[in-house]
Amino acid sequence: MLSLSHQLLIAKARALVGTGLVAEIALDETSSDGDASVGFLHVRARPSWDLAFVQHCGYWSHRDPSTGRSSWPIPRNITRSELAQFGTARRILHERPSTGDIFLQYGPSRKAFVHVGIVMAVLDEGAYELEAPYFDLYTVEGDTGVHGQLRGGKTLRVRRRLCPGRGDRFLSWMELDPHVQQLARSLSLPAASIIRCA
Amino acid sequence: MMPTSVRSTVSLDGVPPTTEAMLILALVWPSFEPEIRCYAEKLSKAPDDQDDLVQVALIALWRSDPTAYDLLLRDDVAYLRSIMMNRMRDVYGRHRLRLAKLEAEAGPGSEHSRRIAAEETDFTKMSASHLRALVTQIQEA
Repeated sequence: MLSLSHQLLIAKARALVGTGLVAEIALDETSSDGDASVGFLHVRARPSWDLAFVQHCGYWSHRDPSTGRSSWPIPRNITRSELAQFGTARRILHERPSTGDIFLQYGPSRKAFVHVGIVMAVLDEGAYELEAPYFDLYTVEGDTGVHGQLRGGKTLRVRRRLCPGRGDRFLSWMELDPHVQQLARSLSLPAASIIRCA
Repeated sequence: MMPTSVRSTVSLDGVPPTTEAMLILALVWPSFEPEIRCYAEKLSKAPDDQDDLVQVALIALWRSDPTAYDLLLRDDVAYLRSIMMNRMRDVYGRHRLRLAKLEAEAGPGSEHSRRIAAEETDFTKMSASHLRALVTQIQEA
């Protein structure tokens, strides 16, 4: 089994930028990658495939050809809400991004996470006056538009500003690596700090 | 005029703008602007106040990050519109309160209005440049 590595995920995601490959895969599958709790998504012609893009990159970048198995720790066929619940239950859902994290963008109008993608780099951080901090990120996303809009239908590299104060979160899946967890236990430190040091 | 906050986001040297800034300037703001301007005109008759209120709406839009909304859905568009209009109403309400307070303080017979009246008539307290401007104005008239 391959060790969890954000470089593998990012390399896979970057290779798919500008292609429609994942869109085809996601739309061929009948899995519900759109958020099932949001009724009006079903009115639309197609389900959103932003989460399918992340899952596709994660699964195939961590697949060991010799065994035919992938070490990607995130369960398949889950919705964005379930992904957030998965992260909360394992204490890997944070308000601060790291390279390779999965970002979850919150939509205040739907009161749910509306978009996900992969953090390629944390470019900058700041704070609006009297408000929570924000992070400027380079991300790779599926089903986005040239202006970063939802359901844009493209796989693109995007410069995006996310703000935990608005509800945006970051899933640090690297903390699920057994080696990281073992090291964290032996040093009595949280897994997040091991990842940040690495 | 574009607010400083938005301008600095789009004009960082060599760094592409963040998506929410691009989305606002390219797509969202042009479609909202006429309606927002109408609403500003409804709130205030003063052109300066109207411009300020339009800027308040633009900043509110930028802060709310339109990339988190599906702009093809009527509900999401209405939600964004309500964010902007509520913010305009809040800011204008506070502005009017402040003005009313100032007017109350500077009402007829108040210390403030007496001081202003005294300064207006006492030419010895005027600066030289102020006096020169006043004389020029009178000559031109």
